Amino acid sequence: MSNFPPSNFLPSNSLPSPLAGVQPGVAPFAFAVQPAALASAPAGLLQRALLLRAGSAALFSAWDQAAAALAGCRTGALLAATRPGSSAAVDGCAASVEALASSLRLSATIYASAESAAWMP
Amino acid sequence: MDALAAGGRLARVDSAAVTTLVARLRLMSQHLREAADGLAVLATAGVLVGWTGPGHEEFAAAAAAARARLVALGDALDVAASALSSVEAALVEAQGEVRAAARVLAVAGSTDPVREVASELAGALAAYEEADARAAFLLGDCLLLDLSRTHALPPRAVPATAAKALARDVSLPRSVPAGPAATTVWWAGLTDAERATFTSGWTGWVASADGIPAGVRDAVNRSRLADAVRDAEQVYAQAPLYATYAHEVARTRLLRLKALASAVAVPASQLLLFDPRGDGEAVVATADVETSRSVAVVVPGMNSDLADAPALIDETRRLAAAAGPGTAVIMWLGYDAPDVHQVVSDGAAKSGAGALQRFVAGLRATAALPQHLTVLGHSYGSLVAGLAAKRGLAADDLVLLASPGVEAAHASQLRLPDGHVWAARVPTDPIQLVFWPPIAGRLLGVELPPVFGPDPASAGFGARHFPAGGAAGHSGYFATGTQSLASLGRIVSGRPLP
Repeated sequence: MSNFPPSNFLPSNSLPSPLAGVQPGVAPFAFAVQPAALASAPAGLLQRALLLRAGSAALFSAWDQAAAALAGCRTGALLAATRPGSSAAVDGCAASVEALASSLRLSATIYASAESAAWMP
Repeated sequence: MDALAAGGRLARVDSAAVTTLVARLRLMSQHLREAADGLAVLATAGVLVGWTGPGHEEFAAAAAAARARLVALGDALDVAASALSSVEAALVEAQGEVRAAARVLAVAGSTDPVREVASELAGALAAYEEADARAAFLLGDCLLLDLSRTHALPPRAVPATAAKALARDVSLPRSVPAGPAATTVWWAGLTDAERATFTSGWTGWVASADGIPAGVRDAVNRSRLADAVRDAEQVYAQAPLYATYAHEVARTRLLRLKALASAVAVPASQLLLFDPRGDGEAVVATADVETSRSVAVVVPGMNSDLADAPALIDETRRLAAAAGPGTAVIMWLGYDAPDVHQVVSDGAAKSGAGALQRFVAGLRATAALPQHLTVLGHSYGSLVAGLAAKRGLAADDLVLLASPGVEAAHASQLRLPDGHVWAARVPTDPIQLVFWPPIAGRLLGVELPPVFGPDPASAGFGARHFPAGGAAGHSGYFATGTQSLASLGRIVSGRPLP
């Protein structure tokens, strides 16, 4: 089970204030955080998480088959015994990456809203 | 036919399943690393640069922790893949030998393997078993333990592998006779080259083969111990620091193995058995068991495992000193001593009794001179010794220390000459509590028999008693300066008690 993000994690609470970067007569692309980069980051992470999820299914299908093939050997017994924990560890890693991606996506959304607000008269 | 059937089972193991798992483990490891790299890039590239404050710090900490987990898991799966790869290679090799043997036998028109075939087969099967054991060690004892510690790992006793069964059926029965005495004669008749075949390719068997010369067993077991220490060092070095439990397990294991190695580094001592699996088994003698005039075998009781070996070896050294020159005392942890929650069962004792009986017979067979041989069982170990004696133990004297009973109503059932079964229990020894059920039963008006039979230290049992003053509690019988130790020394050396 993933511990990420922490329960008190609020990604928007410390984004640099969009208004702080706005000076009279100066374009908002001077903001410290690049909105486009921030928006694309979650997609990249989600793609990694997707690979982990897909790889996990294939890995543990093979794991089960190898454990069955080696039944009676010590290695087979250990594969069978460690399968649940190993599966949980891989899934936990995937969940961590997904949680971080979600946090960033939320941050990007909030930041974009703030940016829009900064343009409003 | 049994051999061929066992070989057939090994040949039918689907090695491709292992190949696939190895590939997928490596692929998953790669995915984990890529995801970790993705997080690293996120932290250092322009995406988050400029984001400051507590929120950024929390996010960065969460990302760093996730990255560490991804990297550690990737490392673990990589090592698991390597371990399984070695199993796969040994399996394919062994399967090739089985098929080659089958072809030879088909041409010969017989199901009785010729010796050369069996010998070649034995080498491949031993390599397979070795690879299996090493991979299991890595998988079970360190790398995946932290990933699955909430799940029970398989106990040390695992079903005999097909390879082991095949090896036993194909090769050993043709050349190795059953029984320690016959094994001694058979070994003496082998050429040096034949012996080398066994000591190099059959180390697991030689390590515990009763009837093989003690010097040979000592060399093989020392080599196995050195391998185990090396493996444990490697495991400790690789144990992920993030998994403190796994790290501690690896550290503890390494320290225990090093303590045992240090204990057997004393000159003249012999390591007659070393098996690191599970709780571990070890048999250590204080001196050469073949040339000593007096030999004693001490069987420890419950909760004894490799961690206790150094302390138990110290006890045997004290007993050897009390018995005098020309004495070898053996710490015999050649059985899986029960934990406290298993101690009301005699299962471990019955299993250990057979092993003890064979071991003592092996001592008799390999002795270079007439010896006075004593078996001493302490606590649950006395049940092991007593059950072995009921079957027939090649000992001159049997000592039951702090015994919970030996499943015998009288000393005469232990098949030793009159006056050669000894028992002692000091008043402060809490083991006497196991004999309270009958007393409680009488008070309650019901019959509650003792768990392992009547008290061997009681007058009615028929064992001889000896002065045991100075011993305190359950584990003080070998304490320096006690009457107990002095008496035991006399019994072991065959001298009369004062």
